Amino acid sequence: MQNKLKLITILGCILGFACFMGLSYGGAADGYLGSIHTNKNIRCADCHGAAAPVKGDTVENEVCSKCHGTYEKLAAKSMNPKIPNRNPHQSHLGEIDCVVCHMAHKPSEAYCNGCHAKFDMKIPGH
Amino acid sequence: MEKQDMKSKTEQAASTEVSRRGFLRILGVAGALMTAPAMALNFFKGDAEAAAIRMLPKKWDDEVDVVIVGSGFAGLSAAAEAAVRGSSTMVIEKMPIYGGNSRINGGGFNAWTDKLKLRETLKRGDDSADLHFNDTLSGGDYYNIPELVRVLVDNAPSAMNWMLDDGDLKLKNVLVRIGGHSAYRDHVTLDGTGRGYVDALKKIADRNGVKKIRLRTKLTWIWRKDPSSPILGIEVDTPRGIQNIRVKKALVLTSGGFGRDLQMRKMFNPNISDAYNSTNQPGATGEAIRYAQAIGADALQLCFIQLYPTADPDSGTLDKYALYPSRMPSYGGVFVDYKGKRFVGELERRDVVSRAEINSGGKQAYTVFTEKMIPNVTTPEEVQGGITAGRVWKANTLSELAQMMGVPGGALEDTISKHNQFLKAGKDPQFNKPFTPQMLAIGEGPYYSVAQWPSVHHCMGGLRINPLAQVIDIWGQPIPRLYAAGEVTGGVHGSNRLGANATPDAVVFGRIAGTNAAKEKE
Repeated sequence: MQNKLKLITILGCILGFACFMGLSYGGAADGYLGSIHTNKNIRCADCHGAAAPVKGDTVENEVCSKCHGTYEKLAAKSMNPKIPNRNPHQSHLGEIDCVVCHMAHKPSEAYCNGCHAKFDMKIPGH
Repeated sequence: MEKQDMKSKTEQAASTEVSRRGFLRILGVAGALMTAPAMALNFFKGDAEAAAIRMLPKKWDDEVDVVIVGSGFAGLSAAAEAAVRGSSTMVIEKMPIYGGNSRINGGGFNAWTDKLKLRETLKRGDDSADLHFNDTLSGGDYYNIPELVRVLVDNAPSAMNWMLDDGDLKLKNVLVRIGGHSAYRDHVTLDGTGRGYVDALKKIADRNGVKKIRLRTKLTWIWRKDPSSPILGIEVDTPRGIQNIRVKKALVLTSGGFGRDLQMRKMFNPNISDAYNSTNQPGATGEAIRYAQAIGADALQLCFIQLYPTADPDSGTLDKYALYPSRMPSYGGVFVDYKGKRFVGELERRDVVSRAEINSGGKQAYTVFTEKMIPNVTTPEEVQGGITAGRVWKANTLSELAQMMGVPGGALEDTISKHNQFLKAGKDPQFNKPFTPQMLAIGEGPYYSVAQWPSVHHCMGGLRINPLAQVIDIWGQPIPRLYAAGEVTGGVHGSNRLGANATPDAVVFGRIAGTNAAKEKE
């Protein structure tokens, strides 16, 4: 009985350590934006911080902007010179949470398309 | 604006208790309620989920003085007024962004006067609260509840001033006469959308101490023990899972309408088929109305669902350019159908214009206006943006414009020429449109046009409220600790809401709801 307990404890520690290592040094394999980040050597902890993310956790704009820059910078990047008014980073919705459109572990979808059915706005990780 | 005395309300409730028990016995629920006081109330057995007897939560995850469901004009106004009176507030919003339909609306707000004295400054004629009252009742075919309309028109000016004073609201230097109104009273935000008012209200709310708006947090049930007891709290679905929030003072429902709720639209108005697009944001569905009804709230006039007559024909969206058809006519804009002919009085109410468009036989209709009219409504830059986006046509001759529109050139020229004559004579023999001194003739170019088509826009019906914004139950009594304001309520607009009356409705009643919610004793 004692040996069984010992075994379970050891296994538990290994798993926990592996989890910790996985989060800090592992990445997402979701096939969406998460994977795109992993492929560029961005790990779970880089977005979620050292502690394991719990259900309902989100990533704040300040974290994303560390690498991706401000809304202003993004607007310059996502501007279509043919239709300059139709810029997802300079829209009438203002500076909403990045995660509204850019979902890491499921398909991303431009929020604009919800009302503007004909926009067909593209987004990575779709 | 004192809330009803609770003691007398309980006495009233006791006298009707017998009849209520009779009703419940018929449903077979009375026994369960009397023997198991921890059971929660729900009258309706239609939906499988609602039919299950729901047990009151054993513990609460949080407790707040005033919980507000929905974060548009009404919700933000209610939160601001509750917070400034010292109540802890929680605004919940099921979508990932706040502001709902309010944020994306046309940016209009009717008030018969304002601190800027815009009407006098721009010399746009006379107006009064009584005139606004009469227009609103007439526009709603007198289905409106007059006491509610009185509250709307009397308080719209102070609501406008509140946003100007405390919210740094920026307005365009224009005043518009919208279809169905008999005066120039529509104020427009500088950016031309509801976002201007949302930003102002958010500023006031923040300053008054309203904490973060809880996004992605959806109402999934309202807790009430029995037909005479107060609201206890709510159940919500959050990213962290289901939670129960105890309401200490009051619950305020400001969850908007159901323009995107295909099932509910058809249920109450079979005429509104799925084929109609909607101007609304995707979250405009009616479950909050259902949850309120499930605990005894009365609802009225849910069949009155408005089509915005001049949305983008392709997508049903009410973009900036979809506002030109509703604003240009008060400065001389003209409507034509696919044949290039007029088909309705341009200053008619929305339902009249929508019906006329549908009956015109085409798939779109159009507004024709000129460069001279633009500064009265918007800016040349904004119109240019419309041209780039492919929503506005511009041409140097009417015949060129007609080609772009896809209507017969000769017919368009003839229509415009006739309309110019009517304008000069001051009489419209075709549709009896009232001409005003502000309307310009369509003389020299450049000429502009925008395409338009009806799209589901606003739900006039909803939860029954009294002038104190208390929700009234099916027996005619206020439900203790339950308030509602804005599009979720019914009775303010009657059968047809006049343009730019929705924003003042939401802000005025939102403020009243928040004020009275804060006054409730714990």
